[in-house]
Amino acid sequence: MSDKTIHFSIPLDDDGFVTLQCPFCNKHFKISGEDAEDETNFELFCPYCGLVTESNNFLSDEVKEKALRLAENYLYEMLNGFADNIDKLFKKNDFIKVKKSSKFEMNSPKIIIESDNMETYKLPCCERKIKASLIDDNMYCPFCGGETYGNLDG
Amino acid sequence: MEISMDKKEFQLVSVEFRRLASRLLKTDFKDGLENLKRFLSYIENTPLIWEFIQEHNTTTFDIEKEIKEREMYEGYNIPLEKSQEIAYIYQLLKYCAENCRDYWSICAYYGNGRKYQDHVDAFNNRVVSAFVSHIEVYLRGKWIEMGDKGEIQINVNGGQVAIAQGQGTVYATQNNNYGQVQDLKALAEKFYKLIEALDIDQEAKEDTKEIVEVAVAEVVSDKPKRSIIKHAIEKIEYAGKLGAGLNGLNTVATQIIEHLQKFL
Repeated sequence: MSDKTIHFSIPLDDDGFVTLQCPFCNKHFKISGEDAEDETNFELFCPYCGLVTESNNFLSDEVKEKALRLAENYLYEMLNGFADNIDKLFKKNDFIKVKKSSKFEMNSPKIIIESDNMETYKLPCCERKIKASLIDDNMYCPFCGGETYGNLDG
Repeated sequence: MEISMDKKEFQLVSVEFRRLASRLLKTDFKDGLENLKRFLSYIENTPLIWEFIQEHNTTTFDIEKEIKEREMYEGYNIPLEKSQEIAYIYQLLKYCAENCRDYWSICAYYGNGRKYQDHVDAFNNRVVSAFVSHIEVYLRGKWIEMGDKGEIQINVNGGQVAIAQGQGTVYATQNNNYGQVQDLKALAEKFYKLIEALDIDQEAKEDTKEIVEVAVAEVVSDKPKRSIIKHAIEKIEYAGKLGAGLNGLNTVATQIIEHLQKFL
């Protein structure tokens, strides 16, 4: 069976930022939707712990859950449809009887709400903005990985 | 010898450390040992980080016994105190790098999963990440200390790494090139024996030995005198040339010179 790609969108907050989650320390931060779509950012550093990995490993738990639910629903839809087809196929057959049990119940859609509870920082090294919850202004730049002092924006 | 490190150089060290640490923390179990060796090699050969490890690595643990006595699905007896925790984990990783055939050997049954990868991930999450975090916090502290226009000087003198900020006082000391000095001393001992075979008068032999002794002592001191080391190099070079083709004297002489040149 070939692979199936399911497209779905991840909401941005009012300022156009998307939430990411560090796969090492599990803390959340945000980068702009533009930076998230920029394919040259093939890896990201966590602004809190400074560890680095491929950017697609920074998807938040909520986004992963949404993706899982969509994938499961696609599978359930296929299996339910398959059961209906088999039922139709053998309806008039005297030798084979098909008995359908209850259908797979579809998952309710996962709604992601982008809360805006982080401060916006300007990064002097890469001249970009991120959102994070910092104790002080020291952080690692998600793009170049260097230590930096984020300047509060606004 | 003094290494001066500005912000950019510091960041290169810091980023490379975090890159190798991330690689180990997210390693595929099949690549674990290679990624562990890369990680250890980097921290051991980077004075800024090695200084920190050595400062804390003061207690020796019987790691072989610790590994053998650990029950399945149980963790290692990692000490609560910070220095001891750093020492324990460092020695555990070092033991694995030097004695184990694969990384899984020290991670076995650390997690509840059925796959090898589950055990490696659990070990990395519970053990290695703590070690990485200690170093990361230390480096972050150093970065903050550097200030806006800061610079770090790492002195690799007399077998000690000393770090000072700007014009500040040296406040952290730890043996960094201990291995190098030990190697140099061992080479010098060989040299003293080999030089006896040379066809020169005894006084010249004694003079050469004496200047080598003084040079080795200089290397161990806080401020090695370049003139003494240079003079020793000349003498060793001369003895090496005389001993070319004889009993390995030339090879040993070249090795000593290579060591001494690092302190010029």
